[in-house]
Amino acid sequence: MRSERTIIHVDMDCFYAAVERLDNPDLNGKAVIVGADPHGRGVVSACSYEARVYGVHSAMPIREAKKRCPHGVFVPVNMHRYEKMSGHIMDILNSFTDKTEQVSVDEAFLDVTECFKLFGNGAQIGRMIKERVLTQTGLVASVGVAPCKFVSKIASDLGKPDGFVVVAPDEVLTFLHPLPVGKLWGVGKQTEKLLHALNLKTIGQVHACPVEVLCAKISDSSAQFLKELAAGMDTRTVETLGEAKSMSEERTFQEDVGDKQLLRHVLLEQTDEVMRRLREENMKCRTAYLIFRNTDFTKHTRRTTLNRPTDSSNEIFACIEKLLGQEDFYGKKVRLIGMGVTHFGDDQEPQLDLFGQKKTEEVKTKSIDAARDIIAQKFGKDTLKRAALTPQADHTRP
Amino acid sequence: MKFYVQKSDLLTVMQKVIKIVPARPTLQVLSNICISVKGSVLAMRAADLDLSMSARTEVKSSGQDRDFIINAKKLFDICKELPEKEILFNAEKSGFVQISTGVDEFKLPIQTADEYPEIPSFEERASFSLNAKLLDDMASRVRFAVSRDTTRVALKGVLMELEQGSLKMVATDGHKLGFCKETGLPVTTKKKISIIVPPKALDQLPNIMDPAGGDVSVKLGETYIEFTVNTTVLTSKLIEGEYPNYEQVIPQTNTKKAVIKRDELFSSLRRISVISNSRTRQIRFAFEKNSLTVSTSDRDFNGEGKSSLPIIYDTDPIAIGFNVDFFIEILRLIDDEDIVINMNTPLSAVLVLPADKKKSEKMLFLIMPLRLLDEGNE
Repeated sequence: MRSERTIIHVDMDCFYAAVERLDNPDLNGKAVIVGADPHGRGVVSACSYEARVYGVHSAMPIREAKKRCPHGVFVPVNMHRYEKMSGHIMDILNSFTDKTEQVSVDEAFLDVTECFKLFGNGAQIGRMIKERVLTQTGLVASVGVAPCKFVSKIASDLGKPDGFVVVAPDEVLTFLHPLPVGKLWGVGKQTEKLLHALNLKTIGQVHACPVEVLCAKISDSSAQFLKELAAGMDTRTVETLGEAKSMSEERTFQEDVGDKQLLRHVLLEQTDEVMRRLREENMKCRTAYLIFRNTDFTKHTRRTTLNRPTDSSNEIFACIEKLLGQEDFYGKKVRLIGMGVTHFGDDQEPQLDLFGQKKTEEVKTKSIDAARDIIAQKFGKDTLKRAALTPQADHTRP
Repeated sequence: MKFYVQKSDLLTVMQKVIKIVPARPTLQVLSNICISVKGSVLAMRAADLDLSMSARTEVKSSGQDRDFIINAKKLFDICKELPEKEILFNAEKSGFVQISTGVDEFKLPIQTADEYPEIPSFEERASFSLNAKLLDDMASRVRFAVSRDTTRVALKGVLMELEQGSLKMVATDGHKLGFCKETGLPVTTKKKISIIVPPKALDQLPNIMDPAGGDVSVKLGETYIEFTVNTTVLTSKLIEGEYPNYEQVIPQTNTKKAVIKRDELFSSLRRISVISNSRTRQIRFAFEKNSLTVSTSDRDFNGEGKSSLPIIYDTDPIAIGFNVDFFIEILRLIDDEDIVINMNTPLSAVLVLPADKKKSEKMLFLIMPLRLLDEGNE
């Protein structure tokens, strides 16, 4: 007998703030705001429920958050730490099924339809996930169980914090229909306004509304889509993670930068990091790109492609340095600088190279890269740095 | 100052130098050409950041000698259309020149030549001369192998090596290599000199050559090279960097040798290349006793192609993958009835030569194989 399709949405509660608390229990019970320097001009990345009471929310300018919640504890973003925890959580989820779709660092869908024999029904698996995440990481996950993706997402959200909401197939409509239209997938502020204009406030009203009426305000395809969602129909499958298409690092400066030496320094640091990650994945790349944002917020990329794949930090930095050298940033200062690599391949590049194995310099840097990776893995990635990245360095050498 | 010049004379020099004027100049001043009139000689000069060319013609002038710069494209487009007769340039008033033929009259703005790049002067390390057509042939033989990879700067140029009266030219991008050599040249030094020349300088050789034939004299400096044919001078910056040791990658011994009719292989490859995958361009050469089968299959398009031809081959069978475009390009550059393919293993460099002994001393080509990824399934 085929089981009913069952999708679980797992969403970590205040993920960044919760990880910070894990590392520093003094933060418990306090309003924790993770984000940029509170005196700078960055934004809030995440905050605890204690801070939300004061109207602080993510993506709010950090100064505004400081104004609203002056007693809050402001913590800088430690993305690598979050990614590591996220990796742990994904490992736990993957131990239930390989049909997992990681949507962001703290959010994932699981299709557990075929796991019933192993772990029990959807509600039981949902419980197990919550418990296992809590015992193994100390973090709280909100879980929604439903017959389709978008209902499970709404379900996990409704129960927050520490949510656990199960929507059985025959309860989907009674669950959805009282909810405001804004909860529908793809309905943002603009569409919400349009729907309100049609006097459609709840999902149930959208369900009851003829599609022609919707078409008067929104496009035919969106109208059709919303009607289906309102009827609890969402046939989208859980997309198991495809391979990454590029890897990059970016940094926004507190103050706009015109000094190329400083930019070069930052790019070198970023290249080291990106290439370390690339090698960790056993991948090679052929294209390196430079990203920058001017003071006027326009974002630009410049790229260069090698004629063979590489995983050498120095080789990619040579490309980045060249791109940097050619760039005049339209005569403006730079607000954000970054670099990335793409066009992935592996050693199995079919075209052989005349000078392939013979370059001793290449072999040397390869073993340096390998040694640095081992040290980074064992003792942390900031243990060993290039001399050029130390504060007293002469910035003209790599 | 005024001068009269024959339209055909003016057009001859302009047609040469206009090719140097960059289409999208990095510096505005480079969209101009520089004209200088000294007595009865008009010199016209164009430059971009690495390259400059000057050519001369006779004029009948009166008044003071002077230099000025003028928009290259406008002047060229006007001159092209003028009738075949004497043209008068009048630059007596400042700020513009009047061009008149009696029927037409034009007024074009001019500027002083102060900000126009000077002709680079440099110290000569060596010089030689050889038939211009021959030098151009050598350059075209290796040109295809120049790398486009911006990170290996040296490989973006053509290596010129002078030693004991011989000139060698080499280009490679690591996947293919072209080499050619001329000996017995009148070189002014016995010392070995190696320089890396930007390909776009060599591309100008046909442009400065005398159609009637004749020599080009080549002068080498530390950072410049200069080619002179009659009164036309082409000067280029050299590429700085260290060229990889190409001699080391040319296989000295070869265990497998095939002799093939060039034209037959060329047309086989042209046919097969139609089916070859547009991204990998992979084809497979299967050598068996006195026969060669070239084949390809394209999974994306779901097509296959195969072509067999008789060859002279008498060793163990071997199958090697190649990029079909590289191979076609190499065959195009060999003007001999038969070619020789020297191989060792499916993963090592393959040597392609003209079969004629004399010709093969003057040129060779290397091509690195493509790994045949799905060989196990075939």
